[in-house]
Amino acid sequence: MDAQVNGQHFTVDAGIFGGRPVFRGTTIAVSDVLEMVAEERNWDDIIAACGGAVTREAIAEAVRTAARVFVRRAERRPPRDQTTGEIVEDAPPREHERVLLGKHVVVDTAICHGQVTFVGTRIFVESVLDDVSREEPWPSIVRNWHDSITHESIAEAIRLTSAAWMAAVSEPAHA
Amino acid sequence: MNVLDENVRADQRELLRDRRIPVRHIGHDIVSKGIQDDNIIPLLLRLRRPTFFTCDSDFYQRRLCHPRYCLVYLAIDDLSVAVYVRRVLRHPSFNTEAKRMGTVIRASSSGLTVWRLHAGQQETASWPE
Repeated sequence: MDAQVNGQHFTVDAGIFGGRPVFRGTTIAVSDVLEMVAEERNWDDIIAACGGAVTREAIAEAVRTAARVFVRRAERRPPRDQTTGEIVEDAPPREHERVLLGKHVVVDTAICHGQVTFVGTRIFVESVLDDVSREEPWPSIVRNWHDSITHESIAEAIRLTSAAWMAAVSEPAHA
Repeated sequence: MNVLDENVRADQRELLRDRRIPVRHIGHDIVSKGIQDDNIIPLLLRLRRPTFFTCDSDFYQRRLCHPRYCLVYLAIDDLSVAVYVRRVLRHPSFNTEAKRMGTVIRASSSGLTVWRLHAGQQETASWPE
């Protein structure tokens, strides 16, 4: 299972919100905060909305963790040798597979070897969400990714990662 | 010629140009956005002695070694790309196009691992002091 159950700043408790991740020492659901991030709200406002119970570091960790869980679940990478970690050279050719995960996010085995990217680009979703986790202003993120992505696509990516994380922790291994 | 993959940030490209390192950037000034992996190798073969820098780890494969290009996978964070492109290009083992051709390189903060054409094993190299 690839869902990270506990982090430095969040935890999963079956007795709170049905086992959805919450920020440590609070009953604030991580998914609620990620939704506010997806709305491009200023992080000071998010922290204020949480009564000061959530820190910048906690929000950043939540964004990064959600991205990591989402990407690991969705990607279609080439097979690797279990021992060396190298790509298996004599593996049979892979069928081309393209899965739209949303309007703006895709996994395509012909693009970046099946990592999760934004539609029509070779830009990794995880890279952009790393920028979000550093609180880089979204206009700057868009500019630094060649104006190939939009505020709408960043927001969608955050919502997809949040949903994937919630789905992962609700699977039987985490029940 | 140095070619940056589309998965390199624009500010890293500009940092390299500020340092007078000529680069062409996929999706910006060479070919269109969203080029497929299988079209990158033919693109490189059309260019003169290119060194291709990417953040896609799956380009680090021995079978991609070719005498007419060099591939460099940058196993570092997105904001350190310009620094590591410079470090690779200034490394004593890779500081000319001739030295780089035929290699597939993984560059990280801990050093370099290298596949060379027809080599049975990877080489390792450290960063100069």
